[in-house]
Amino acid sequence: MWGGLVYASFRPVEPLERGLSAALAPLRWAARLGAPFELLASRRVEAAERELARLGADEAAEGARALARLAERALPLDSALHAGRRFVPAEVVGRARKDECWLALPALEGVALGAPVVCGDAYVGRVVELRPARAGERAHVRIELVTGAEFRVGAEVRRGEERVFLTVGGLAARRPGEPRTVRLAAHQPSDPALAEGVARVHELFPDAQPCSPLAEGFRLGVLRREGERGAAWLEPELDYLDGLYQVAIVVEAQSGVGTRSPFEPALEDGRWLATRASTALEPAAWRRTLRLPLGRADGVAPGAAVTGFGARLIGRIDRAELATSAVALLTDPGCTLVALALDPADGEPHVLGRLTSLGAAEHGVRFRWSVRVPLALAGAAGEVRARLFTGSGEPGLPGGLFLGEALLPQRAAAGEERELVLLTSVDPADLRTVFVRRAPAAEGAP
Amino acid sequence: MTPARLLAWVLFFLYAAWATALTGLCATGGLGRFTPDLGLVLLYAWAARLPGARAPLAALCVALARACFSADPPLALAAAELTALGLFAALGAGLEVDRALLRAVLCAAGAWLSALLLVGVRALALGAEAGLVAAHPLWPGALATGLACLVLAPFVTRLAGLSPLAKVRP
Repeated sequence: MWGGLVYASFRPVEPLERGLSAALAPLRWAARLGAPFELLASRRVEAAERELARLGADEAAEGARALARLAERALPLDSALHAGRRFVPAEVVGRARKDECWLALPALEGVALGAPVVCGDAYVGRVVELRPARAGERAHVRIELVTGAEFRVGAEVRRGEERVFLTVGGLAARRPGEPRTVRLAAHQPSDPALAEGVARVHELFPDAQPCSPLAEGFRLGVLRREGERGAAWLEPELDYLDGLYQVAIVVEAQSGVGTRSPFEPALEDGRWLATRASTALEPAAWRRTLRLPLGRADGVAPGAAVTGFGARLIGRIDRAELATSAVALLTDPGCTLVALALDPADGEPHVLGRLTSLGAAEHGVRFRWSVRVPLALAGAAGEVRARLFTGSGEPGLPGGLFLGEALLPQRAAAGEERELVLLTSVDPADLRTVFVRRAPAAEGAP
Repeated sequence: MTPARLLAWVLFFLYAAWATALTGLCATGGLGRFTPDLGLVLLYAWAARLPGARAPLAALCVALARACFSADPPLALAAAELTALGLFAALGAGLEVDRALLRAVLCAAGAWLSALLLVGVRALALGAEAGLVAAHPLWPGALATGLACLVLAPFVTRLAGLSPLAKVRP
């Protein structure tokens, strides 16, 4: 029996886990046995919840403003890119595969298969599947990213009057010892000596792909080459894996599609379950968790956001059993999320990408930040105290939830690994009244 | 099973739940990595007194109590408690494991083993981020558990209502 248990611990068997979680459902009441010990923390809990209730409305409004600004910036800045086109704002809500995203948008009107997807002036990929809106839910489209191994898009690099043509798609291989940056692969440039320049989408045969003329001129990145004989690659402007939150789908100008906001303010969409934590007495010293009396039967799924009052993210669902679930708090090592930072100098949101918790710090949380695209904040040199919010793109984790404040470097280069200390005015472990994001079936895997 | 023994099992689960809750209170309240595993102390204090298959049942009882508070999977918790008990049983065949010092040493080793298993399961679940928990030092918790066993075991064996667990029908 012991051997079987050890094996099943390391290689979970789904039916066994489900059966066990149903059998252990009564444990949701047994967790109340720890109530006498919870009483010792009651003053701390009251103070933390009061503090959050005081700050909640402002934090929620600030998060919504940051997302709205991010959505505005998903539209091209370059006026030449607006000619003959309209843009349908969409929100990234999940991944079908590593190189494919699900987007949510108010309606599919005018969006066609093959339509280009952009973020600002940068090219993201193209639409490969359409799912019309269902009752009470947004429409969804699946897009293939330019990072896909099979993806190809025509491009050109201009050198004065001269134009060099090439094909872009997939990721360039990184050699050992090279910086951990993401590079787009550049294939068969018409001039093998091409060494630098900005690559923009340009299809030599526009009829080869539906809607491809709509992608003309969007930037793919800066072309680089190492040495005269080395392979060329592109430095992308976007973090395709963890930094796509708001994008725009390009459609024909005469399609009649309105530029409606993709937002449904996450805090007001009725998909939150209020509950009180059964216990916060995690016995493992290397973990920081809460247990909730809500489980799969209530619509709770792993990865779902858990907030305190207002818009303060305190953790994510780690395991969801039939009638109970466990929350990995932000202070739990390994808790991971995507984030953006508001520049205090000009209020502009900057995509940070993925943050992974390293554990608790004094007055906050230590996070590992893998920088994938360069960060450049406005203002004086040195460190900048910025307010951090969640990004979107992961099922169950809506954008715009407040995380805390962190000292960010004014400049960070792609490929760097940095440690951030997120300062939070309340310890997530001190909260008991929490709200869990109930993920609809459509989100994540439409 | 007699009503008295059934009641004793219920009480054992209750004590195990309180021991785990107290462990959690210590872990979140400042002891950090030096937090003793008090559920394991309860198990080791009683393991040598329980006849037949009652010791594994006690280990499962402690695992179940821990599952009420922990985010770790119940199967992993059961495997961890049974691993610790297995160490006790294996050495108990040749040594006088009911002696306080030896029991404390074994309890520390058992705590280390069970924590190692739980950290391993968590590291596997984290995948690429496994290093975040794999680097957590386990010896301070094991040491604290051994010391707690040395100090608390004499009291734990006198907990009210548990004596029917040790009785064997003539």
